[in-house]
Amino acid sequence: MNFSGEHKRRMMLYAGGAGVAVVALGLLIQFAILPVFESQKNLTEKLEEQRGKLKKAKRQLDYVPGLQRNYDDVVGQLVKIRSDNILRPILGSYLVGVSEKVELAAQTVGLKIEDVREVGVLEMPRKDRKLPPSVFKVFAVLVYGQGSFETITRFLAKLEETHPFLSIHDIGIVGQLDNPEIQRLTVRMEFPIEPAAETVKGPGP
Amino acid sequence: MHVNLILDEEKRSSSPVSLGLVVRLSFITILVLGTVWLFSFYSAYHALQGEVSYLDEEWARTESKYKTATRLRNDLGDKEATLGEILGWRAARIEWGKQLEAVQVVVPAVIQLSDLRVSQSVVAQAGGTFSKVYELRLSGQTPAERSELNVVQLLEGLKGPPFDRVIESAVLPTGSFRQDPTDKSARAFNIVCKYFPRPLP
Repeated sequence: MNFSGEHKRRMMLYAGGAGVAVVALGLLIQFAILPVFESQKNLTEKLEEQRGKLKKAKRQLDYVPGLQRNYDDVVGQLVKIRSDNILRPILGSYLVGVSEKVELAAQTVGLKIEDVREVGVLEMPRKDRKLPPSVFKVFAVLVYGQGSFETITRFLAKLEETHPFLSIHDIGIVGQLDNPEIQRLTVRMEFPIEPAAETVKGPGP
Repeated sequence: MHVNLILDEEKRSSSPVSLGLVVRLSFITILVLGTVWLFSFYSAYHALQGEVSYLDEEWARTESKYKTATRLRNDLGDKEATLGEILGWRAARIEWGKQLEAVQVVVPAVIQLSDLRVSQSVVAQAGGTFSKVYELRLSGQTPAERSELNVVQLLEGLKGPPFDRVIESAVLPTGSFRQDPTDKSARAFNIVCKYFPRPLP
């Protein structure tokens, strides 16, 4: 092919124009299109994240009425247990309250109580030693008394009936040779307490 | 004779589509396609921004309720754990009043119990957890006549209902059935009942 000078000049012009266009396109891609794509990618990721968060939140919110019912039920049970079954100190003494309870049950069935001795406040045992200590602790006492076997069983049954969270740890019932009808009783009892929930009230102004 | 009517440099392609036209058409096509793409991209980008902005507002409205719900769930978990601890404590005990009443029922009239002891220990179970285990020890005397039958009757009574749900084993330890040292006409015995482990809270 034989090109004339004019044709060659035009071809060079086109080639130059194409070169400038490629450079301009490169700059456009680098400084305009890629940042916009990056921004779009970020927006899409943010959108997905927000959608995920909202979906999770709405699912959680759907459960709120049920959760609230469960919460009220659990709190109601705890309040009842705390008010009825957790031993409270009387002027700082657990023993006074326990002695009253023991004497009352013993009087009801006709058992003679000889002594109620404090063992102390102990940690509530847990199934796993790695678990944190329970908010509840136990107040342990040793009760000494005497009566017939039947009286003793009725005494224990009465105490357990009126204090369903009382745990009997050890029992010793020993017959007496000189008086086989009367047995000597030693029983260790543990009452749950919650020291953290007890408010110490000082004397009034 | 051959006559050239036009010079060589004046020769042009006979095709109606010139290179310039192709270049111009390509440029225009690219420009149009680029504009369309740019417009659609901008629209999509704008819609995306709008959607993100809407979801931001939606999240701002929902966040406080969500945080309240999360707090409620966590509080419920804590309260359930506390309730589980105290209910577990109650479940781990044995109602000894009722248990001793039942023991009284199965003791034959000819057996005189002289000593009854209950002890409790916390023992490790398979899996590393700890349980409460109770042990009941009974000591007594019975007249020598039919003494073996009386003691076996008591032992069987402790293996049957209602004890079979709570007592794992009831045994007469070797050598514990013997002549009563205080009364030659009677036999003395010991029975050891081991209770099923009761899981701690």
